[in-house]
Amino acid sequence: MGMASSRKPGLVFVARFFLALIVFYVVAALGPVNDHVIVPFTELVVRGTAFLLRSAHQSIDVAGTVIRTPHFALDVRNGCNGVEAMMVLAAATLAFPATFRSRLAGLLAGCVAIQILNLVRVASLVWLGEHHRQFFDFVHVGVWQSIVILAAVAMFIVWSRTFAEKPLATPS
Amino acid sequence: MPKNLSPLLLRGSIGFLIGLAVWAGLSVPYTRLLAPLSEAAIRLGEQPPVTYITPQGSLMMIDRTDVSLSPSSVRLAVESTDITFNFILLMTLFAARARALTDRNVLGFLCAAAALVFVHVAGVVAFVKADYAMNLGAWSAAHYGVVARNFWEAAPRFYSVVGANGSAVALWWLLRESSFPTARSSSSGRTRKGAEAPRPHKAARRRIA
Repeated sequence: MGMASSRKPGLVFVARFFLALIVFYVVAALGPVNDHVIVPFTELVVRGTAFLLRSAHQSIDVAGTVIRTPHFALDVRNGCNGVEAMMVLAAATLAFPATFRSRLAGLLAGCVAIQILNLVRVASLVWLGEHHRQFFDFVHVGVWQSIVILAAVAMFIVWSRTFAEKPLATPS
Repeated sequence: MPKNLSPLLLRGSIGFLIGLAVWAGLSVPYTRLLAPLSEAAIRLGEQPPVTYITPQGSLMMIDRTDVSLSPSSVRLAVESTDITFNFILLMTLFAARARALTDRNVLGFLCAAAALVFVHVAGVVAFVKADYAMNLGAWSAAHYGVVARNFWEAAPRFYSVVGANGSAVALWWLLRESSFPTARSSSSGRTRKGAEAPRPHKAARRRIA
């Protein structure tokens, strides 16, 4: 089998993956969805983070999507609420051939894991902002952003190898 | 869960640290490359060319010769590290693979990294056009309609939230060395309860007969 045909399943996957990403992004960006789903969800993330930090005896105030410490405030937005990683996972899961049940199982387990990791991310960023402000931007952009997406990709790979049922390509 | 998770995590961690070091260490020289490429890309849609992008550290300063900003106005600028962070993800994904240093894997990584430059240029274009459409006051309103303003406002957000990382994942998926994963080929011959057992390859069936 030629190179072109062996690449075809990969191209189909990538096309579906990007289409799903665009659709998810557009839906999440719509005013009503943003106001009634994304923002309340982000507030939930913020309250979870505050609970985590208060358990570690940090002084925390919460107002909507903003977390305040004595010397620092963090407004959690899209890109920091874990929704972006959930979108990547959902798009990859939808693009990969599998049954509805296995997709649902992979998505649910993956989203829970992503949100647990994201709580650690936001909590650590608040702590960094309060105690080591000079490292905040580097860790925010360079470290955590990649780690959360890597976690989503890792979960997709584990899922696709364990639960997905149809092969994407037959060996030539 | 994969049995060989520890070596995978170790390789991925090493790749992540190398990616992080390269991203942080080369951000200034890479900005000097990205600025003229992005300037050329934006000028493709300008007649006469009016956009100038000047690198300053890891910042790209944006100027238009046909728009005079008041001295009190903030000069438009794009932070290149906000655009190039997906390199870390790409590096980690290629490094996590078993036999990461094979010629094919290294070549795949180099091709993906080269393609990522175009993604970064597209990212800069999105950020600059968003500034043009939203932040130049009356000039923006005169030159961008409602649809164009909405589109360019959304473009850099899409890039930051999912586009940048999605591109890195897509490039890795297309250019990685291994064949595409299959449930049956990687599940050590296990089949789900009630699932049809995999049929032997046509040639094998002939031999069995």
